Amino acid sequence: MSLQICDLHARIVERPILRGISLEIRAGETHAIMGPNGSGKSTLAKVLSGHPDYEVTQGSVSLDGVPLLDREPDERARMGLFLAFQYPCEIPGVSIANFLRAAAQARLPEGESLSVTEFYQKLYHEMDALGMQRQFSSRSLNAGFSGGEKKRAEVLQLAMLRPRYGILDETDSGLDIDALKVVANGVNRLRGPEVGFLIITHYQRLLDYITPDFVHVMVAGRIVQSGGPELALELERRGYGSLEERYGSPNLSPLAETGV
Amino acid sequence: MDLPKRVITEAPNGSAKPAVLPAWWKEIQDAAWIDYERLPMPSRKDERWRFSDLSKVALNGCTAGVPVAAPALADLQGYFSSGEAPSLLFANDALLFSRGLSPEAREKGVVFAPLLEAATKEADLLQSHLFQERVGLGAEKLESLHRACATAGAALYVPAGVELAEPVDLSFWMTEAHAATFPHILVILQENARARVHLRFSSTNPRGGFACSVQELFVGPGASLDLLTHRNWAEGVCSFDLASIRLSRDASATTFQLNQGGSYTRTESRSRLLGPGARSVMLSATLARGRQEFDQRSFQEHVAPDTKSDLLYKSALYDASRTIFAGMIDVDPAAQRTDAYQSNRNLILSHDAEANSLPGLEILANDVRCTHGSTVGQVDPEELFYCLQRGIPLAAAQRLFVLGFLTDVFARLEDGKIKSALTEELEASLR
Ligand SMILES: Nc1ncnc2c1ncn2[C@@H]1O[C@H](COP(=O)(O)OP(=O)(O)O)[C@@H](O)[C@H]1O
Ligand SMILES: [Mg+2]
Repeated sequence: MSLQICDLHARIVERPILRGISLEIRAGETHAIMGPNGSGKSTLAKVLSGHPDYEVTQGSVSLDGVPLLDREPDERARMGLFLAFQYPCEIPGVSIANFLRAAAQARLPEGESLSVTEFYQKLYHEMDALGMQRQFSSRSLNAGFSGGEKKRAEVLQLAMLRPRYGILDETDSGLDIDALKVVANGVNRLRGPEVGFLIITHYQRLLDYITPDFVHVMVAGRIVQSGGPELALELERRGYGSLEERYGSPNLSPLAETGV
Repeated sequence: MDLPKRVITEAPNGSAKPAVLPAWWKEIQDAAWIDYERLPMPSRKDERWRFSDLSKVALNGCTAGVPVAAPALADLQGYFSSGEAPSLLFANDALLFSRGLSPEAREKGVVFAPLLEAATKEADLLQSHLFQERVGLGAEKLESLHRACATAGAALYVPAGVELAEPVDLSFWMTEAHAATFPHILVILQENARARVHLRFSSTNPRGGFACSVQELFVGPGASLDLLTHRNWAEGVCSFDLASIRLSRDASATTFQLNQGGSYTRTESRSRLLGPGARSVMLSATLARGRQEFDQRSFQEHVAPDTKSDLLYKSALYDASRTIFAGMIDVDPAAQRTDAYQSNRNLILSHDAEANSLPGLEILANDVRCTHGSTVGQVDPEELFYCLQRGIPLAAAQRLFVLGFLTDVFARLEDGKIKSALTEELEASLR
């Protein structure tokens, strides 16, 4: 059981961004990807979830053994892939509750309809856990939300939809320390032997609260270093500068450089 | 367009009980028939028919006074029985069911009656108001046809200072594909009166029919009218609904329409702000599907100073549907300090759908605030991707967007019960 990424190359408008990503996230594991801005972290998240702007030019991805890349984004989601967006978009006119009902309904077998009572029980339970006011669920999704509210709404959706593999793209950015703790706690509650997480972050800070099993460093569309949680601390001390210098050029093969 | 003469000849005789009209009404009918024959057919060369698909404007052999068959009658009984509100239900122009006003309302002098009954019992009132208004936004020929044929419909009269507690329900149905209907709605609110009217146009049969209705709404000084129209004709129906609303000093009106169904639906809505302080809110939400066409023309006529009008028309277009919005804000030289707003928004869900938007202003006063805007757009691809990423399939995501887009118009209504009923109805028809 894993989300397996093999030699993934992808580009946007003729411009290669991902240049050979290989990574396996097994159920029960939490991986962190760190890297400088522009290294392709969000691109990886969007390619995995099937964003139409990106073109995969090489490689494969499978979710629990099922090839992912020829599936539509909504199918991938129903297979168990969830992406908490770095910049969640605003959807005016669609309330959080109605949005989540549609998402929950889509996961039921054909012809079955959602129990509204159970849905709201679950929704309010998760909102309580995230310290969200219940009226919040009738607000239009992300419309006019503060940065922190948006990130919280992402984690609420994560908690409601219970994916097999959750990707969090800079869910920590724009959060103050209290909000960060709430969000981290929300994620930690969902961790377990059945669930895999990929936490994308620019800073080490979030990893103080969500301890990853593995840390990877991405530079210029490749994973250039992997290690345990200590790697994050090391990066925090050293910065990305030397790594960028070493791996930043798209023409270099990081595998050759590191001798793997 | 082909409008055979038999419509008029059969109108009074075709129904179970032939309509007995007072002489003044007969005269109007006869004159209207002459107008009808004299007036030219709508033409695309006429600016007021620009973009209209005139091939859809047709009577299709429909006739007035088609009898209502037993199964349809049973269905309609079902639609009627719920609720306590004063109601009149017509099918194919025959009055089938009615529930009168509360005793309190009657005591206060409120009148709510079928037109034919009111024409005898309230002869003066009717004679001075019925067929006095011209909407005149292009469909003059149809308006004349209506005058020549209309006998079904209702008059609501609320005397000065009286507030009608419950809304009155008026519904007009067609039960057969070859039925034609000519409903007329006459509302007269005296000074400081208040009323709410719920109007429904619908079919029991799955397709076909022709409807041409006219609304004449007189809102006296300080009076207030809320009028909600829910239009949901069967597939293939060609319909016209022509409305004129006269607003006296400090009068206010909110009209709202939810449009669905039909083949070709033309609405003409004229708001005449005739007294200082008058205020008109004009709202429309349209769900266009299949090959349906909704052709909406509006006129915000500012005659007096310090008047306010606010129009919001929104349409969601699926499949190969079409919409036309042509609106005009007209400000007379005397209408200083006019505050007028006009907004038309279209959400396109299919490559084959087509929205035409023609907002317009004609301002002859210098101290005014007039704004208009129109948009034709598709679902934002990032918003769509967001929905898909949550596992919501494309069709369901579009439903969410359409609901959000159109319920935004409902949000402008004050009555919470109405809002949720409309939302439920829209949800159900999108399912
Ligand atoms: N829509 C786009 N069009 C063109 N270039 C893009 C687009 N999105 C991202 N990029 C480019 O791809 C590279 C990687 O971006 P991104 O994946 O967002 O990086 P990160 O998340 O690591 O900061 C950047 O150089 C960025 O400019
Ligand atoms: Mg990013």
